[in-house]
Amino acid sequence: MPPARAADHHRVPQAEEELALLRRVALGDRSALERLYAVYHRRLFGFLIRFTERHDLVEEIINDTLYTVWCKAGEFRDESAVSTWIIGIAYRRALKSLKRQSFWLRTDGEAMDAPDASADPSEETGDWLAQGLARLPLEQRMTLELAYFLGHSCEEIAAISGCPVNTVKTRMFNARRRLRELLPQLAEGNGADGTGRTR
Amino acid sequence: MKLSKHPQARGDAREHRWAEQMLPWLANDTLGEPERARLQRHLERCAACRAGLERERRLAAQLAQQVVVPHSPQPGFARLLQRIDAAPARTAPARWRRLFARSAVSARGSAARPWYAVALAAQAAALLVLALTTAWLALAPERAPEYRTLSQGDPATAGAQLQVVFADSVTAAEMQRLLEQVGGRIVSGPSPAGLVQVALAPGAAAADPAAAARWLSQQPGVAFAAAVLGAGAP
Repeated sequence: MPPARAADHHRVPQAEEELALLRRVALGDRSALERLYAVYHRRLFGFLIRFTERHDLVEEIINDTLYTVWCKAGEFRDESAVSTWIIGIAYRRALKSLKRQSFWLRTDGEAMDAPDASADPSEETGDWLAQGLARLPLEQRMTLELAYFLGHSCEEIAAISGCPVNTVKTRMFNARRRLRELLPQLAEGNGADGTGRTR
Repeated sequence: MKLSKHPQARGDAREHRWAEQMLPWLANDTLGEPERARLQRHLERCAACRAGLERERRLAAQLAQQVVVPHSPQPGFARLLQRIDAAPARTAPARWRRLFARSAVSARGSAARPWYAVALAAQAAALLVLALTTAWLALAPERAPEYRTLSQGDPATAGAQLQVVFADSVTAAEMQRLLEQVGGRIVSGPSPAGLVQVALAPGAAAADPAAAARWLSQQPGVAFAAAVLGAGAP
């Protein structure tokens, strides 16, 4: 299977419809906000729960994100896709919230100890991969997940994270290199049977 | 990955470094056509990058696995609405909030510099006269046939409809309340002039959109309201 579009279900299926919804939100239309909330709750929950076990924190980030959307919908310009704009808001909120969590406090640019395997929030992805990901610096991991879980392009990730395209490429490159060091089974293709488990 | 496995020419080495960085975007299928073609040409002659691409695809497949969302969005949305209602002054649509902000800044600056306040007041008065003249020209039916053109309605949206301009000071909650009173919902807009098109749900208001428009236009939060000509009105 071409994994290339494996994340298609997360992508914006009808960008024009989302733009129309956002314009109605700018006018104070709560039914449009509700529709947008439903779409982005699903998308953002799936993305954010990969970084923390705390559902309450994920819900708080989503709430903050959609509240900002409500307040600033009138300021949206067509310079980017609606999805890029909204996920960019979520990215900044998530970065701030997650960095407050002791789990993400680092020394020498490294994440602290990987989470206990029994507490892995993404069982289907596999303990070994989850533990490897947990050892990446947060910005690198976010870049990796934005590309492979949400399926964003390099330029979109640059817009979402508010940094140059070259920074995105560097973060991605460093994340991949670190994962190769941490997870030799990834290079060998072990554990890639859909469960990700090597045992 | 060892560079010794790759072409040694300086240009090729540079191309290889570029290709290594671009592999993820080929793996997630978001690469533009020129870059994709360039990368494919490199892959044809670079075994290490082909292996790298397979590795990225495996990783992408692992990460793209769907996480089951255990929660309904409804409780979260209800909390969001509570938050919005708890801070009505901050939740007016941005267009109006920006106007408030500008007024506040002007007022603060004026207090510090009286001469500036006089100049600002004169400028504001001139703008007000201009705005009122423009509004009068736009709203008087016999003088503004182009407005009637605007109010012909969107043929794509059938049923009784209104054209409404809300006051700059109206909050989102007030706007919603006003629309609920006539069973209306915004279907398009705003135009550059702030005009929104409102569809009326079947009921008393839809049976007499002109009366609904009259009622709306009498409300403090509404600057203008009119029934759309030929949009399902009886």
